[in-house]
Formats: sequence, C-alpha cells, structure tokens
Amino acid sequence: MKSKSENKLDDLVSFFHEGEREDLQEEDYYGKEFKSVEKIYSLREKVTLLAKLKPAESAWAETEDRMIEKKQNLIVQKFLRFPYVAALFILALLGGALGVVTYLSPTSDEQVLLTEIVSGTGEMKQVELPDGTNAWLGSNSILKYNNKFGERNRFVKLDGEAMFDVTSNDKLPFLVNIQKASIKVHGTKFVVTSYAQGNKNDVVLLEGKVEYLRQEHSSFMIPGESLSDNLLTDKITQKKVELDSYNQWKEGKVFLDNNSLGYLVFLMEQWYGEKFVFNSKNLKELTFTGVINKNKPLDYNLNIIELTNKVKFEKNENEISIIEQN
Amino acid sequence: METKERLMLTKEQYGTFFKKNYHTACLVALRYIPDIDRAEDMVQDVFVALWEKRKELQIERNLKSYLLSTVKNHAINRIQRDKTNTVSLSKLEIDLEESESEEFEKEELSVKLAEAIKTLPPACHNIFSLAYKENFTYQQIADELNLSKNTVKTQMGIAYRQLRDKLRQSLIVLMQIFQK
Repeated sequence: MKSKSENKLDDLVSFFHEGEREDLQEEDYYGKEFKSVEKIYSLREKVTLLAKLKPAESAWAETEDRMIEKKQNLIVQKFLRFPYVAALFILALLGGALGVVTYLSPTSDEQVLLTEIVSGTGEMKQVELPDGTNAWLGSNSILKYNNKFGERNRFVKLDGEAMFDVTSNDKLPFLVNIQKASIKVHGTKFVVTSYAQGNKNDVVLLEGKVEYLRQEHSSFMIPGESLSDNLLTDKITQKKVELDSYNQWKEGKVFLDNNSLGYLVFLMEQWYGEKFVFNSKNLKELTFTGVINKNKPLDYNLNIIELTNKVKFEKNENEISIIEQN
Repeated sequence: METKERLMLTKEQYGTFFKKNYHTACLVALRYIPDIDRAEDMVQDVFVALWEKRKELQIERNLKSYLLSTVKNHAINRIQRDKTNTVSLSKLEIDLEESESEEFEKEELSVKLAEAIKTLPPACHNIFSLAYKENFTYQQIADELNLSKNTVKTQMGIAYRQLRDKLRQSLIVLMQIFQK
C-alpha cells in the first residue's frame, strides 16, 4: 500500500501535468512539496533544450581547436595593430594582391565561416570535402563545416542522412556532430541517419572504425554493425547487419530491419515531400524488414508496402492516408 | 609574482572547467538567442576569449559566475546589434528584477536536473520523458505504452520523488530565495 504522503505527491504532480485539482486541499498549495514539484515542472523548457546541445566533450574539442587558431591570429594582430584597416589599405595599394587579403581576412573577422550543403526533397548530392573525404547526402539533409576544415579540424554537422567515405588522417580525427551525439571516425565508410525531427539516430559501419559519443556514453563499432539510438527513451542498441545491402545505399537502396511503419513513413515524407496521415495509431507500431529503393517513384514503394497485406494507402488531395487492410 | 603563478590555469584544468559549465552557459545564451547553433557558437567564442585573457584577468569572484555574466552580456549585445531578432521586452524585464546571486540558478539547476533524470529507472524514465519533454498527457502515455492511466500517475510520482530527493540540497537553497 502506498502511504498518504506518496499519494499526495502523485496528486501534486498530476495537478501540474494534467491540471487535475479535485484531490487537492487548500493547504496543499502552500506546502514545501508543492514548491519543489512546481520548481521541477517549471524547468521543462530548459531541460528539453539541454538535450539538443552538443555533448560537452565534442564542444570542448571544437573550442580547443579555436583556441589554437586564435593564437596564430594573435601573432598577426600584434604585427598590425588594426588588421581590418590594414587589410583594406594593402588592398588599395596593391590592387590585385588577393592572396594577402584572404590570408588576413580571418583576423579582421573573427567569425568562423560556415559552408552549408543542402539537399532538397528527393535529391541526393555528392560532395568531396576539402580533405578528400567523399560524402553522399540523402534527401532533405544539411551538412555544415567551417573554413578551417581539413587544416585545423575535420568537424562536420549533419541534420539528415549521409554516407561518408572518410580519408584517414591520424592527426585530425573526423567528427560528425548529430543531434545529441557525435561520431568519431578513424578512416572509414559509414551511413548516418539523424533527422532533427526524427528522434532517432542510426549509424551503420561498412569499413574501418568509428566511435559513437553520446553524453558520457561511448561505444565503438566494428564493420558490419549497426547502432540505433532512440532519443526519446535514451536506449542504444547495437547489432549485426547484412553489409552488402548498405554498400548500395548510394544507389538509393534503403534497408529496413524491423523498423516501425511510423519511421518508414517519416523517411518517405523526407524523400517525396508528401504528407501522410495514420488512420489509427496502432499502425505506426507495425514493423518492416526489407528493401526500399528511394530512387523509384512513390507509388512503386507504396505498392511494395501494400503487398504485405497489412496496410493500404489512399491518396487524397493534400495527403495520403494510411488505413488498415482486412 | 607568486599569486600570478597560482592563478594561471593549465589547458587541462580549463578543459575540466569547460566541460562542467558549457551546458549551463549555453542555457544562459539561449535565454536571448533562440537559435541553438548560434548560441553554442557564441558560448565557445566566450570560452576562447576568456582563455586568452587568463593572464590579465583579476577575478575576485569565481570564474564560473564571471563566465556566465560574460555570456549574458555578449548575448544581449548580439541581439541589440542584430535587429532582425526581436526579443520580447517582458523577458528582459524579468532578468532585471533578479538579484545577482540567484541570477543563474535556474540554468544551473536545469543541468543538475537533466543529470538526475538520466538516473531514473528505465521504465520510469520512459514515462517521465514523454510527459515532461514531449508534453504527452497521461492518457496519451497510457495508450502509447499500453499501460493504465493510474500506473502512469504512480510512475510520475516516483520520478518526481526521486528527482526531488536528488536535488534536495539545491531546491532548499532556491526555496529560501523565493520565500524572501
């Protein structure tokens, strides 16, 4: 049996979360218990924000990097008291001495310059990064890196999905920052899926070695292994996968291994820019295993899913509804 | 001479200081700068600047409160420069009313709270996260996880009780401030 005070706390908590007040007495609103529940409840927004920040470990790696950059800039700054003015002056004097100007510009503007590569809905982009690393960007994805990439650091930030074929470099580790976590790479080929609205990080390692960093948690992965991090429940699972399949990721093939229909539909929304509506919530929990090719038209893939005899898709004006098949 | 020697931080010590306070500093910046990337970027800038000034700084108060007020000032300067970002005035007024000692309490407590949340038992953590972070109602959680609404209520009570106990020390201090 629960004690009276335990029941009271349950009621206080449900007052804040549910607005239920029938079990509370007048004096409950002035107690210490009320204040501490109120305090914890009031920090909701800040605590949620915290989960979106980079792990302190990788933020420190970035900052340490900037500290080195700054030191070099300082030497130039001591030499030229007003670097910005000086840069303009040199430009005026020498006309086309572009090399000098670009060399000085980081001192006059302390901001680090970001390069952003964006892929549209249904689009796939290939980029070669300054260090020779190849990246294939999936649909609706953003990849960012700064102007020191390849020289002072090898940090990229990803929102979405990408496959990396990373050149090896012992001095500069390659770091992929994704929502709530980072992946540290040592010359390797792997696929990452981490859409900001997806609440899930997936990593599949094809070759080499990577380390998945999430807060104080760290796991090493070996080739042929996949890691799945559910950001809602903080549950991280690692398992073996068929490697052949992932090597064809670039051709648009996506391999599902017990993925929920909810997640599959989320991915299709990213690829095709269509909106889906579930007629019943239970349908989201259906799981699928198999291959989907995102370079094929939407109808083709919907057909494949319908063949499982579990669900049907109905196209309406602005959305596609998902209904149960009997 | 001797005191100067003593005050000089090594990079390693600074790294420890960074990791301990980075998230708190980001929360302070996020009060004014709504964009997470930009807020983190600015906080890192402040850490770099602070490291450079480590020789000149005469820090009487502790380094942490110096860091947090610097972050705050930078953030305010930045939004004033950047007119495209409008911050509601009421937000700034509230800050003015706060006294210095309690100024960053909420941010510090949030970081402690986030740590404490991680230690909740898995089932309880799951339910709590859905209610607290995702704003699910008890009924929605019950449906989602196939539980009774009453179980959800009980588990929420357990979560709050454990969090309160973990944070007791910090909560008491806060409570005293609020009662003044």
